[in-house]
Amino acid sequence: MGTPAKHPRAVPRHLQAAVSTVSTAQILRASGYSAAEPAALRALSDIAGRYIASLGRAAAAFAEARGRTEPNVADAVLALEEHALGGFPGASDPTRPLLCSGALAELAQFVAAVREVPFAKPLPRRDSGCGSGNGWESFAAAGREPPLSHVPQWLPCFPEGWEERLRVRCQEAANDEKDTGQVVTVMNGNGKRGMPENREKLSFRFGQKRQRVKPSDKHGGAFERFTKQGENSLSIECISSASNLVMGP
Amino acid sequence: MLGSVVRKIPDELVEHYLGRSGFHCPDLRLTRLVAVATQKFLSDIASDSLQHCKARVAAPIKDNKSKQPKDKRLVLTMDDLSKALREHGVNLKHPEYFADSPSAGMAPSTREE
Repeated sequence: MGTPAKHPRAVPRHLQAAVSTVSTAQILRASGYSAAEPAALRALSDIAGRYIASLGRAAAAFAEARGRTEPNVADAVLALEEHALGGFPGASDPTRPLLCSGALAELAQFVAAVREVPFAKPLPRRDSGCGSGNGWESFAAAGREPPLSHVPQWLPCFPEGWEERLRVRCQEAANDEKDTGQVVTVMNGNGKRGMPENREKLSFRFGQKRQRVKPSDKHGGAFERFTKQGENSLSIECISSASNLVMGP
Repeated sequence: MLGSVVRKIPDELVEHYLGRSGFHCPDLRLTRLVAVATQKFLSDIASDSLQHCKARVAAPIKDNKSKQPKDKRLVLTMDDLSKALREHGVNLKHPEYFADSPSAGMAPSTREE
C-alpha cells in the first residue's frame, strides 16, 4: 500500500466525520444555502471524504505504475483528470502537457472566483514528535537491540512503556478468567429481583445425552439445532424447579 | 495559484483521508491541491442542487404569492442532492420515511414540503 501512514489513527472517526460536516456546511453556505437537512449534510460530507480518498487512490496508483512509492504533482494531475466526469478542455490530445492541463485551468478559475473564508476553528495538528518523516524508526536505524530475541532488527521500535502495558493487560486477562460465581439478575421496578412467572430454567451441559426436550415456542424455535443429538453434542435440559437457580449475593 | 487559495477543508482532514488510500506525500502543496479540488467538487454539487431548488420554487408560483419569503430559506434537501449527484456519477437513494408505527407515512398531505 506504499509507505505507512504517519499515525495509525491520526484523526478519530467521530472527529473526522464532524470536521468534514463542518467543512461541507461552510461550503454550502458559501454557495448560497441557508440551511440543510441533516441527512443531506451527512451524506454530502461522507461523499467529500470518499472523493478525497478516491483522488488519493488514483494518484497512488499512477505513481506505482511508474515505479514510485510517493505520488508527485504529475500523478495528482492525472488523478484529477480521471475524476473529471464531464471532461475538461484539452482531453482529446494524448500528448497534452500535464501541468497546462484543462482540469488545472478549471481549478484555477474556481479559485479566482471564490471568496476568502477560513475554516471555522483551528484543528490540532498531530505531529510525530520522534523518528523520521515516516513516523517510525527501525531498531537498526535507532542503533538499539530488540528487547526480545525473536524480533528482527528491521522492524519498528517498540513504543515507550510497552512493558507496563503488557503487564497490565496480562493482569486484566487473568482477572477476567476468575469465576466470581455471580449471576446477574434482572431487577423489577420496585427493587426486588424480578422473574417472570412460570419461566423455564435452562442449563447447558456438554457430553452426556440428556432427556430430549422439545424447545418451547416462546424461544421462537431458536434452539432447534440443539435437539439433534450426536455422540458428544450439546443438549438442553429444562429444569422446572426454582431451587436449582444460582442466586448471587 | 495555491497561494491565494481559500481553505475551507483543513489540511489535517485531507491528509487523513489521503493516508487511508495510500497517498503519502510530504509536499504540502499537493495536499492543498487535493483540498481545493474537493472544494470545487462540493461547490459544483451545491450549485447544481441550488439550481434544482430554485427551479422547484419557481414552478408552482402563483400570482398572489411573492417569491421573497421562499427565497430567504433555501434548504438543501435529499431530493435536490440526489438529482445533482446523479450528474456527477453518485447514486444516492434516501427513503422518505421509516415505517415504525402504523401511522407513519399515512398522511402525505400533512407532511411539510
